[in-house]
Amino acid sequence: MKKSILILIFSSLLVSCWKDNAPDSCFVRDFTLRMVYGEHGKSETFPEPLSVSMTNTTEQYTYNFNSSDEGTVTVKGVMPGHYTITVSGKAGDRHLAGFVSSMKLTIGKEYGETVIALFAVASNPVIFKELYYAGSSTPTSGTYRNDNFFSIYNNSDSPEDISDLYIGMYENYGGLGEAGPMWPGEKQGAYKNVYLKSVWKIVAGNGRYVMQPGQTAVIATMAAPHNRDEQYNPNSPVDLSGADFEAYVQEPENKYPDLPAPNMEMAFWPDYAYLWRSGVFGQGMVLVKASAEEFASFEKVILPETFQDPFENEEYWECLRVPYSFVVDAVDLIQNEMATATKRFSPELDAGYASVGKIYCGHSVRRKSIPSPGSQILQDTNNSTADFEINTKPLAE
Amino acid sequence: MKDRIIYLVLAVSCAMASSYAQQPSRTSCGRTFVPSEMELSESASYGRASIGADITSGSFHRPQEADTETGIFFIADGDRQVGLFRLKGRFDFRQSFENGLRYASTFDPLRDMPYIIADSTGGNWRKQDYSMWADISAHVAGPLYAGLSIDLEAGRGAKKVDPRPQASMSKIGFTPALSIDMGKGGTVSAGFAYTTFKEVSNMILYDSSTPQKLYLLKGLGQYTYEIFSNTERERKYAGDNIGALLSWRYGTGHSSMNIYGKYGNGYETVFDIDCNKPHYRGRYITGSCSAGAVYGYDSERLGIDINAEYSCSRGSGREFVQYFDSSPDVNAWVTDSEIPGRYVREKDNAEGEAAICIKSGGKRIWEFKADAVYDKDRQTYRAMSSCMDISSLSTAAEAMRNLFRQNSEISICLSGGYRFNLSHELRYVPRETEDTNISEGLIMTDYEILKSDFLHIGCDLGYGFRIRNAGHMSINLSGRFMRSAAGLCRCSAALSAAYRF
Repeated sequence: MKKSILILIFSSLLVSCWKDNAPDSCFVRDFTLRMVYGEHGKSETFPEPLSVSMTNTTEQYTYNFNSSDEGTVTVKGVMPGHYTITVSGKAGDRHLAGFVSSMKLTIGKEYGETVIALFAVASNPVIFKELYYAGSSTPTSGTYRNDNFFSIYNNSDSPEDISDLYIGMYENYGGLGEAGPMWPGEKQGAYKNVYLKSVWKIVAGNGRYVMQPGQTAVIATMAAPHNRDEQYNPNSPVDLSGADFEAYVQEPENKYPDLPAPNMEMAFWPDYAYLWRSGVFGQGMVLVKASAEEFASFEKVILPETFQDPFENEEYWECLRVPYSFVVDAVDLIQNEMATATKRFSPELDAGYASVGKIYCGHSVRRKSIPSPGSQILQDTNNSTADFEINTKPLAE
Repeated sequence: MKDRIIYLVLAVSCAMASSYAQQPSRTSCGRTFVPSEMELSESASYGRASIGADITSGSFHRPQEADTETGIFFIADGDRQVGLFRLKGRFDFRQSFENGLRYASTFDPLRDMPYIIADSTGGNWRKQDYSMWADISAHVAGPLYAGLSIDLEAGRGAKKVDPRPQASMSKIGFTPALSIDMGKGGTVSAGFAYTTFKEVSNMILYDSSTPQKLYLLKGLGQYTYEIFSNTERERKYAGDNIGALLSWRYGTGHSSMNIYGKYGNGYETVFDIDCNKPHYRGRYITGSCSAGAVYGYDSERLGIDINAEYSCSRGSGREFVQYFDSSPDVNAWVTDSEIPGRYVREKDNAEGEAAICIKSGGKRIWEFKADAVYDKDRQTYRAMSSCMDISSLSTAAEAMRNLFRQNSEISICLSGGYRFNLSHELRYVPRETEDTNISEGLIMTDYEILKSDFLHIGCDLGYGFRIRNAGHMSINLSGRFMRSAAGLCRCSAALSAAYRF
């Protein structure tokens, strides 16, 4: 009896030990990625190898591959983790892109072949050129963010009427460095709508404004000579007195001056303030093209109560739901390169993100230009990580 | 290394204080291996309070140790029979100022824990450490004795440069044990040990316009990083350890023998608070065992102590693959998979020590000691083909002379030793090639220090005197000097005063 009890005690001690047995291999089993676009990758080969980038967001490690002519990549020796996959390439004149927002790779599991459907990147004529959102510091080490601006550009070779173009800011309810809430009816990484907190019609009323090829239009939060007038901020990198549009809130109690630049029309902003300023950590920006009727049909939605902070009023949680099909350009602005979890747009809108990585630094993100004989052509591959660069001198051409 | 220096200084001060107080040297600060054995050991019945200050400075230190460390400390210990219970305990308080630490954003970046945070700014830390232990034992019935050890430790510290970590830790341990006195067969004791550990490191950014790069280390210089530009972030540790102790003691006449062994098994889970939800980073699972034997001879004219011990520990870092599910139903970090055995650390240690003392009238006049320690430390991070393997042999010798007068005594102790590197290997694949902070600043520098041959010498001086009808006072001064083969030096000094009653 005593012996049995002793054996039982020692056995239970041994069994209850915390152990951690390393697997035979510390890598995921080999598997294949197959990219397809139409008949390319099926019955036809791709004219040139596709560029495939697999980023392990758990490990912050990126593997780069080039596909075979058949559009396949054999993935060997990668670490387990949570991956995003970005594919880019060309088929004839068309730029192709593909994106897998979430692929979880585990040790010991078989993955076989994963098919990635590529899509042709739509090139829109009017796109964002430069976004200055991080603010600047003042001579007394204070902070200043009234000098925000966003510039748009006609990237096509024909004039473009922007009378029905809107600029909007995505909601940033997730807070600093946090992933935002998931809206009802949407799927993580595959949203079908944008949820805008504020939207301005760039050309107010029934006015008409045509952008010539290669023309830039600057949209200012406050079209003031920020760095030329002591009452603003001499340390600001910009003078926005020549801006093409201003987001002036026409409200009798608004004490900010209505500066000479043409005012945009506030189309949606339920909990408006007197200045239309972006968060200094960045938030998604979109350009929406819609007729007055189409715009009126966009649904106003309220964030589910689960995510609401009871101290905010109801207007704060109201957003405008705009289907992706109306979005002509989008740039996912995030806090920094490590805050990819806060990215809000699906790859269909923006396969990457842009960030200046700092706040109150006086820097902007600017779209890269492609050398061309005529007017300047800006890079638009639907991937802001690749398309944008940090500009330390905002507004400088 | 830092801990060793601090404890060396404290131990020497303590040992000297006890010798002035006519205690068997180096026992009053120690504890019996199993608390219930205390009931069978000789009672000293004393109380003592010590205060002191120390300073350690020099370039021969690991990157996560201070260039200069100053500290003040207070120690109270004692041994009393209270009714049926024998009580023994000690309380330590230490306030330290550690200047020039690098890659440290947790309370003790050098403890056996791979998941620590390193910042790139470095800076000066101020720390407070409180530790206490108490052993209680009692005769239960017949040959049966029971004992309980309680260990408490609490510490807090902060750095005054962004990202300004503010760390606090606590450790609580219990060891209940039983001893059976088998008469001529000696005493057999067994105990169960449980320890729980918690640490929180909050980081605050005063200047949020200057983001800080934080390295979330995972072992052997592998890491992920984040650009910290929020106002606050939080890292937490929580762990438990269970173990068992076994001891056999035998004593006859002037001789005694003790054979003991200990086994421990534990884990510690590490997580950050991201998006207001726990984001699990890893779990460190440890197993350790030690076994040793001590022989002692104690007569009116001679005392001999010989002991040998082998200990080993194995640590394995299990990483978590988590993603944030922002759906209303979940809205939390979700574990997709776990990766066991990512980082593995194996440590082996064997040491032997021989001490002899020559007595006169029961008092220790001369004491000589020699010891040798073999250490092997192997760390691997297989997924990045990285490993560090270092083995060394340390030898040391010590001579102490105690001079007794009518109401006072003087003690002089000289010690010295040399550490030989036996073998070393580093294969390291850096995580980022363009950022050499961790690869060169931490790993390469640390490796150079760890594989160094070095010499150390020390001197301890003590003066003790009896206060008429009011106890015993002692003042102790000690100094240490270390010099590596590469010419790097480090020295330390401590001054303390103890009052025994």
